[in-house]
Amino acid sequence: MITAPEPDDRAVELDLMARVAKRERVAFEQLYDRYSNILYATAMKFLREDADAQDVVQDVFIQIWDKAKLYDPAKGKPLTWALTLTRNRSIDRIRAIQRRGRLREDFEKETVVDESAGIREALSGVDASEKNQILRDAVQRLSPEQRKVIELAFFGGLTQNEVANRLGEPLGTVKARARRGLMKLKELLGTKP
Amino acid sequence: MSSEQIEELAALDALDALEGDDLAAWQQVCAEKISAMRLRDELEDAAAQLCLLSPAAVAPPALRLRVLSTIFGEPSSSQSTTAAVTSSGFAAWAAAAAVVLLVLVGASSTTRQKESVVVRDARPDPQNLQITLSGYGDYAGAKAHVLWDSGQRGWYVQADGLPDLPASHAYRVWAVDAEGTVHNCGELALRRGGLARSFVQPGDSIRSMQGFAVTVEPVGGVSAVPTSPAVLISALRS
Repeated sequence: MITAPEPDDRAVELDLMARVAKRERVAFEQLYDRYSNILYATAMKFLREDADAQDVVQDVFIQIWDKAKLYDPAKGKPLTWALTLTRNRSIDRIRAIQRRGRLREDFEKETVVDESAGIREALSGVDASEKNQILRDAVQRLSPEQRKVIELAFFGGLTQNEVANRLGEPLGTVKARARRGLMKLKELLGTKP
Repeated sequence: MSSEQIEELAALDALDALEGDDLAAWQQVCAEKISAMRLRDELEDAAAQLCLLSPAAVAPPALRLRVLSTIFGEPSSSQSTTAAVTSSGFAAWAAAAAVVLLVLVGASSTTRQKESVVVRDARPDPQNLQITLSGYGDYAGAKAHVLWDSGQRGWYVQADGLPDLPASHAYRVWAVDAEGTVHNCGELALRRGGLARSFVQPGDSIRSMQGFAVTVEPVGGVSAVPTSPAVLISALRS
């Protein structure tokens, strides 16, 4: 499990983002050094291929450089913004691969493994940082059903109907679990109301 | 729509799992309720933290060099020759945009599209300020809405029906100020099913806004002006 920057680091990261927005190369390099391992690990979790993960991380940092001046602290932390970019780029890449009909079966098999492994691995991790403990505790407090829906959609990149089909549950049930699970996660992680 | 239904759609959108009628319904909600978009952002923020559950990994040192050289190094000489989109230059873009905008203003003079759009809007209820962008040419099936968020002093841009682009290109949002100057507002990230969205803050230097446009631009090197014709464009105030 990745160790996230400590909460006190947020001020530092906001400062870095502001300087990146002013096109300061030194600030960008510092931001790269803070985030690159986290973003690369995230891309690797989704893509499992070093070359693909590197491409995604490169795209994300280009986007950070490109959009830093548009970044709004009120809309979220710099790290979670970068993570969202990484997740979305990774899923886009997976879907592009699927569209080309390449590796589809392999991916679906790996996704099944990944979905069940991702959170379980994390919950058994030995990372003692307070931030990660909060995250582990929060995930553990979701019901297994809520966790599964979130895993399939977020890590597996499945749509609501695909999740329902995969689980053999009505769409309405999937929607309710996604809502309850994510609202609870937001509350437990202290995402601003 | 009940608050519970809005929460459901927001959660599914934050997970990037919405589709079909629910996606259309959610887009309608977002076009009308800033609070719904904020909730979606918060849920997306919570979901993003799940990425921290990934097993630790170290980025290869070569990647650092690659990223830095891509951003700060000399632009690739092959970039312009590999572009899949015809570059027509800013002058041609602006001229074409002006024609389209004039037509649109005339066609929509009874709609809210004709409203004066001021970035630092001081009106009592700017939450309702919404601009529609229409697609042209090969992008006629696409459309977009831009919604002013007075709380965050910026614009939500949400488009659908956009075709996939080659990896070398991306959609980019431009703001047109009162003087007709075009300002780069960043990339409009394309997601599933032709859906794209972004939150843009054109900057304090722009005192009043006439409209928005979307073009297709090469990834990487960012030009100060559009290098291709607008594929989506809004009506300007008359």
